[in-house]
Amino acid sequence: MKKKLSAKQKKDAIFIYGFLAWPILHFVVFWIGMNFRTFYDSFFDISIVEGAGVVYQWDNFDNYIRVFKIIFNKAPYDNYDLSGIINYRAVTNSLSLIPLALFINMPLTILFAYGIFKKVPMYGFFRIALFLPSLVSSVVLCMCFQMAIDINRGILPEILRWFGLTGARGDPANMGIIPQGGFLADPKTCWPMILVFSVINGVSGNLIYFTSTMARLPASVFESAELDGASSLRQFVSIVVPMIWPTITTMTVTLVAAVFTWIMPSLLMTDGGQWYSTTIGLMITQVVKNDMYNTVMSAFGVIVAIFGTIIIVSIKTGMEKLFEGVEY
Amino acid sequence: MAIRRNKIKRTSPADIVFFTILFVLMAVFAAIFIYELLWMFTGSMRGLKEFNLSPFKMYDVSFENIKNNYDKAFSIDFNGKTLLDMIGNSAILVLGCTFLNVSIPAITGYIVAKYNFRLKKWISIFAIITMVIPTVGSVSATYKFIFELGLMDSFWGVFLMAAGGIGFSFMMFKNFFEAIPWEYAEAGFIDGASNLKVFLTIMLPQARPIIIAIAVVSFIGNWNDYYTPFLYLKNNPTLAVGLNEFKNSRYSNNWPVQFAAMTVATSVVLLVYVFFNKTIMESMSAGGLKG
Repeated sequence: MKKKLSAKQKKDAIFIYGFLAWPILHFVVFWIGMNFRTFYDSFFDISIVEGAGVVYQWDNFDNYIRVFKIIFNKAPYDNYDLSGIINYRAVTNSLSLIPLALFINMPLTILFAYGIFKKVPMYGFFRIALFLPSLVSSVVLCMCFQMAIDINRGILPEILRWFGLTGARGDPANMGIIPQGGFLADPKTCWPMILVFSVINGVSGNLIYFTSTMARLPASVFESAELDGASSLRQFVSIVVPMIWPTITTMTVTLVAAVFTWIMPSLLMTDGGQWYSTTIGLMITQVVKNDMYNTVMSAFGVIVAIFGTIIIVSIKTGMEKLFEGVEY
Repeated sequence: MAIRRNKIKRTSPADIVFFTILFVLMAVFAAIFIYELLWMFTGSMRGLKEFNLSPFKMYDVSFENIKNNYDKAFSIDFNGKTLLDMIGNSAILVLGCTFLNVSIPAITGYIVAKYNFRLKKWISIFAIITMVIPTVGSVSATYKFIFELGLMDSFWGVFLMAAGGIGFSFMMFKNFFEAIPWEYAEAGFIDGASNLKVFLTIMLPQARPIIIAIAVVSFIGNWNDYYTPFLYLKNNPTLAVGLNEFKNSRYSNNWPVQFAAMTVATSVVLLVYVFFNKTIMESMSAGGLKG
């Protein structure tokens, strides 16, 4: 009996470790390995020397000093111009996405999900229509947005025209509140416009998770609340939000984590972060694409990982303390 | 699982105000999305001249303009690659990545959910860590690694990166398999089935809804993905990358032609969504996050 059991255990072990070998190896190489290499590279200056190939030269903490200079002294780095790829605004822009995610996108998404859950008129239509940006490619969304705010053929300038905020279409002498080159070609309006894009297209991302989470809430709780005369607004504040709080926390964590890798709108709409619209993720990507042996960005990545984790864990811990998880 | 009636009971003025504001907000957002897609779709069927004269008209479409715009979109040449080539590249990327995004997390999630072994707890912790720590800096190391492997510009490099089993999909599969009773598997073992046979013939078929949901989400994500091909497939552009190139092409000012290409890219995901919409919604409710 004992022998038979150990044979089964053996078979189990072969099955378990046989099939887990690849995912574990992949994780070790592509997550642990790549992050370790990033950390390692951040202390070196890498150059290509003819005959010797790739040469690593110990650089102390110079890369980290350069990063802090970029961030705090707003200093240009090497041959990159301050208004170009490497820019202190990458940090401020990325960080400005956090309050946007926390206080605009997330509340709007939860409210919209509640509207669908409570079956507002046309809720079936809203469930599909509001989910559309999650289906459509960000390239298409960015192109549509660029076209919608185009000076000559866009809908936004047309609306502004109705309100008398800008002149006739195609009249460069009478642009009103629209910058000469358009909203995405002016340092004052470029980043705010990208934020508008993010609000418009950011509400749908987690809608499906919130609607499904709300659908799992026990009916008896709402029935009791209704018997007690609680309004729908009261039910939302006192029942729905506390009961789905773990989902809100999880989704907030993923949203804030995504801020550090947030790239697409700036990359696609402003020719790669022009007009002070770059972000951390975009800056790193562009530098790597231009010069993959640039180790300043490795140092930047390490700093982002450390401070990003602190921010994310702080938000998660703070949110978990606000409401305790409810079992149902 | 609770089934309930959620119809709004407008019993208080506060509720009326709340739901009116909410309805208006939802309507505004929905109108923006619908308008964008309609503008794109009808714009792809209009002539350039008519479009430039009145960009917001949506009804002066003609068969001739449809043919003209779509012909031009499909005949464009970006460094020797046509729109059809890009669709082909997208298809290769989507099929390969979707298969990997489903199969590897499925078996990883199943094993972690149903078997006891030393690393069980750690794998779940790793999955959470990957979601919490922002590792954008590792792009540099990954880029170098793929370059050193000689897999730059190769689909194999992208497949290699996509072949991870520990991440969000893993968590979804793990949650789903945890909810399936182990008695089914035990019945299989009594009949002499191996671990693999039990997984393939008993457990996996029960996970059909979550497999479809993750496959569809993965399909849409990979079809729309710009970043990966932009970085790793420079000479094999996908449709998402090609679309952006239209802005720098000879059709940069010809919006109807651009709309035609955008409509092609969007139609594919919309069709997939229409066919699998119900399964996705049901799977998210059944195996998704618990609030």
